Amino acid sequence: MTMYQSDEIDNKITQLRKGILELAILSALYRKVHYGYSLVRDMAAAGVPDLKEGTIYPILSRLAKEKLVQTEWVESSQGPPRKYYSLTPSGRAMCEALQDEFRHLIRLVDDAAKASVPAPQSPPGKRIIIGRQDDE
Amino acid sequence: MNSDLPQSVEKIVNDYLGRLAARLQGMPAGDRRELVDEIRSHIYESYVNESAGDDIERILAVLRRLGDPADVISSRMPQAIARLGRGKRAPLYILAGILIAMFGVPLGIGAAAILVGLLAGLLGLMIAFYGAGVSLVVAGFFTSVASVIAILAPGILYSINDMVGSEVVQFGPFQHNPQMAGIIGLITSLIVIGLGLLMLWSGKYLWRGFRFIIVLVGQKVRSIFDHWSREKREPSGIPVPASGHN
Repeated sequence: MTMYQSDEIDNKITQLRKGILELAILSALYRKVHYGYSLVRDMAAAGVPDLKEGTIYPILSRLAKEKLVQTEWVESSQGPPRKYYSLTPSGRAMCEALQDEFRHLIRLVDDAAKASVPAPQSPPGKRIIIGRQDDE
Repeated sequence: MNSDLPQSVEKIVNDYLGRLAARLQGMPAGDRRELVDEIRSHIYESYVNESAGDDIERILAVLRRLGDPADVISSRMPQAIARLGRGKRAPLYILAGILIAMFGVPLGIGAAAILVGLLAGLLGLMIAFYGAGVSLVVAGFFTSVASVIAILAPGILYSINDMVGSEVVQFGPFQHNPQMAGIIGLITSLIVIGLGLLMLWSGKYLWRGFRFIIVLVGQKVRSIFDHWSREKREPSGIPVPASGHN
């Protein structure tokens, strides 16, 4: 039986996190108004591991475009002005709906894990092997 | 900008933001400035909260956490491009979407050929479109002139027929009522002129879409060329063995 490579697992985990990042951002903004950096710090404090900080900006921009968040530039006492993000009413509603769904999914995964049976030794069906042909 | 960063740090930040801005070509200038300002603000906040190391180590740690400029814009770019052409109704934007999807994969010779074909096809379409518009207007104009003559002085048309010796101008069922033929002809020709003008006017959307695709293609070709010339300058690290193994 082949073991999955650890970087394959990493890849899957990264994808999973990417999918949830948007909900994590909405949830952080649900609790509090944030500017970009404070949002990153808040999420890091909440335990979002090795977050590439720049990745939140495309998401924030998309949320703004979808009118789920609103933005406002505010002068800072020191340094450049900050762009603050807050949820719009539809953003709050969206966040609540997504959180409900997320809890439902967690229950689904938990239940499946409890009821799990040992996996078969090798997967049924054909196996496709993709390899690189070496030069002679 | 009122950031009070040390000069060497400021230089590194400006370099980073310059690279970011360069990647945002094609985005509306206002949006681009706003994003760059926002990232500058982020870098500043992150820098003043970073405590470990000297100035350079701190700013490098900040930029490492922030990620490559590509991370900051990853999913922004297609939107930015899509926003280039403001209206989204024209079906050409759907085609543009397909082109974007096509460029998403590495552009091979085949794709380049398809691309050239598509562009040529689009150009032909545009020429045909404008041609049709112009000929509608011209045909409408002459018909309306003839109709006005038929209404005001039908005798001229009869004398043209007499002069040539055959029925150049025919009134069909309105043989004995050329004024009626004139009125119907005038209305029809005005509608035709209107249609032609409408085509010419709506052609600007076609033209805008076409220009948008040209810009898009130009950008992509340039980026591929940049990438290619960079590869040539710094050949990739994988050495090609002369024979099977060494």
